[in-house]
Amino acid sequence: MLSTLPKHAACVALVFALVTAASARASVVIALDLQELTSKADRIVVGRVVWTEPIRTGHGMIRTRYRFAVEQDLRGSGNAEVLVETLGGTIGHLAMHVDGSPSFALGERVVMFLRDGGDAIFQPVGVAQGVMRVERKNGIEMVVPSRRGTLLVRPEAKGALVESTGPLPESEPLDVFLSRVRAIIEAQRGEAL
Amino acid sequence: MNRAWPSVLAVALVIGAAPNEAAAFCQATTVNEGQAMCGQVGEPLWWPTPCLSYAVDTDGSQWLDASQTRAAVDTGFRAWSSVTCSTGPTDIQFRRLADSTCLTPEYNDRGGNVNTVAFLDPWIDPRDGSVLNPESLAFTVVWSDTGTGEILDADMLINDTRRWARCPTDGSCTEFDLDSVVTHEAGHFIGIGHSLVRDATMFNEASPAGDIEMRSLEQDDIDATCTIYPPGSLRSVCGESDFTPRGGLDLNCEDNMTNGSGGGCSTAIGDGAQDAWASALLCLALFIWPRRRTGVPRDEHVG
Repeated sequence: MLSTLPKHAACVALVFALVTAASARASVVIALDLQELTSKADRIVVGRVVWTEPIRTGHGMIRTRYRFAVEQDLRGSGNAEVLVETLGGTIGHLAMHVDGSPSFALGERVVMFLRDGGDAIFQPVGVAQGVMRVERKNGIEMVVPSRRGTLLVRPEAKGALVESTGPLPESEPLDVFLSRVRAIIEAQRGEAL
Repeated sequence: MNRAWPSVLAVALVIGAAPNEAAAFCQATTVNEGQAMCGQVGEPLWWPTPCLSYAVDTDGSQWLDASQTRAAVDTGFRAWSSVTCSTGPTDIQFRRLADSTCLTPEYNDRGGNVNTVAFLDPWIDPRDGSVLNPESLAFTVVWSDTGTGEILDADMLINDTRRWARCPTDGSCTEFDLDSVVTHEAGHFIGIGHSLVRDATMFNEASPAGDIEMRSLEQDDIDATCTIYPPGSLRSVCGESDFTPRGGLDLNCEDNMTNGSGGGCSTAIGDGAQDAWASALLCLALFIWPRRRTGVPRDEHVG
């Protein structure tokens, strides 16, 4: 149907939609900076969602499993696909939401910092902080912070309390971001030796 | 082609009419997909009754004594039931029920339920032992009907491996203020998403530990409550039985963890347990589930 619309009409609708962009829900989560996020990750990948399935045991929580086709491995290696599980999902008429728990649409492309949860199932580090969505803006691939639904709090080691915006305060070009992550991985590897 | 214009405008108006987080609060919806925008996908979440209840887990937080734990939780919920709208006080009422042993978020559509507030150490899902995200301090699970947005049940989990306190009002506190976090989570309990208004309790990011400002609601939080639950839209008188969760009250959900089908040690109202002895033994076994505790004194407090 959209193909039958005047181009400017579609533009009006699109612009209106973008202007009113908003998001929902929040968990209370310890804020991580990019170094911490990287150090806590067993696997860091750029991938695309190719399959999704909600699962539930008995009356317990609904979880959603996503299979990602791995395009780039920044840390860790293994199968060309990685299985990621997050809290929340829908089964039949029952929906279960966990504030700030990341969810993905089929085909969506993301950079993910993943913790090995065992049984070859991973979860994002730092809840939504470990998920950076890749979007194309003005022809440039950008990574977009995914703090949606997360209330970030951060206690300092000596008791001083500071605010934090998490590992990716603002969108930045994908290649620049990946270079930063690779540099951190190298530095952390050097420290470990 | 001309006939398409109403559709275009309708789409634009529907999208534009959705709550705008840059302007104010957000009502959560049944769908949380990808970068879905507030209120634009799915049905808005709402409780069909103003008579809401919760139960604190029997052990409470290891960092506070039982009475302090319960007082902090009560404070968090009371913030929302104390809202006064321009047309009168909110209809929402909360009742704290007897303590619960239910440590796992669940919704049983064939039996009793409880809206539990559970303190977990270790920070794992008791049902299957899966590790919860260690950076998460607390989260609220909201169960809803995808067709109507009706909230069926809500459970709050608090990561008790972290240090909690009831911080003094001067903010001199390096632990996390339990009152504040419960207040924030209680907002989600009633279906409110986050806000971009920095002072709001439902603000979505970057609040330091020890911050107690979230305890008190700001205008944006009040607007959310009054918009989702306008005074008079739900009945304002709650009888004792109205606080019973959907399907009856089941304060002990561990039975459901073993067979996934209900029954067992439940003391459910309207969800009869058949074999009391077998149930008692099952409960006893389930209590052996490992939890590091510091001997929190227990009280029997029905709010």
